[in-house]
Amino acid sequence: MLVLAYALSGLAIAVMGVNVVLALRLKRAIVGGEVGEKWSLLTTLVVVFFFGYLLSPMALLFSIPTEYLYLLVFAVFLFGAVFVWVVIGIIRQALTFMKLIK
Amino acid sequence: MTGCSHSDAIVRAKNGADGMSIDTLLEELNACSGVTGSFVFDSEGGIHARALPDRFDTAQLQQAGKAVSQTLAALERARRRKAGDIDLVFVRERLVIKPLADAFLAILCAPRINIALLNLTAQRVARDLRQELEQPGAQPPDPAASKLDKLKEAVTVGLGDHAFKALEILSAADPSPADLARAAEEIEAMTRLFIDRKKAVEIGKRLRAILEA
Repeated sequence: MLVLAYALSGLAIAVMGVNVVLALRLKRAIVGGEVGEKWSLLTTLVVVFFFGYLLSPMALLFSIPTEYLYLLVFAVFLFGAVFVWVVIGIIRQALTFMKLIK
Repeated sequence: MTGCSHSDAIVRAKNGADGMSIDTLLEELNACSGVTGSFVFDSEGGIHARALPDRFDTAQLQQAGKAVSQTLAALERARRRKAGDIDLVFVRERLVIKPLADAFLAILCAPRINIALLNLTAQRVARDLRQELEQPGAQPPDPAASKLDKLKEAVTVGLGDHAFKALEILSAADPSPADLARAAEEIEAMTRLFIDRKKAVEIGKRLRAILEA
């Protein structure tokens, strides 16, 4: 079971590492504006997630107390919710601009 | 003038002194960085003037001109609105075609030319060419079309390298006041979303001032 947890953690770190690279590349390509500002926030969140993911196997390795683990998990939930909120905002703005929204 | 054919000379003879002015305008356009040459043709493919290297055969230009004008006419019929600029990018060359009154201005340039900077000169040259090509006693220039030119110039100056999409929006717009106002709003929204909020406010004000003038 623990091996599976480490494997999932490793996979999550790899995928998030790719996300960091993609987000930074896109950030350089975006000129600015409201979408650019929101993308900067998303990039920051992706980097925060990446470091959080890097720490997650340490939590298992050093068997940190359950209370701290809950704190970590719920912090990830919060950042995840903010992330989704910003993504919805960007998509809504893009669709409104393209007049594809009802 | 380079590589001018007999038929061109006939057309120029008909135009009299105007032919020389057209040549001067084309030479001015050719002075832009990245421009290989330019020519003016009508809907029948007749070449009114050319300032192109000798390797471009006039007969081929006439054929290409006729094909382009027929395609544009079909596009206008299909879309029920005036066609804007055409920008054809090939591996080694780029061809920008600007509709004039009853003719077209074709600009041959490098594929990676800064189109916004080219348009700064090309729009003015196209406007002067329209005046040159107009017959004496013809109708005065359409104020809406002149506003469109001013809007394009304001967008090019205001957005610089990022003006490409905004110019596309303006080229697709009808010269009617309502359509120009809609295009201006769209450009302001695009600038706010994707370029810069402050710039969007500035460009919005500038475009509205031109439309209200």
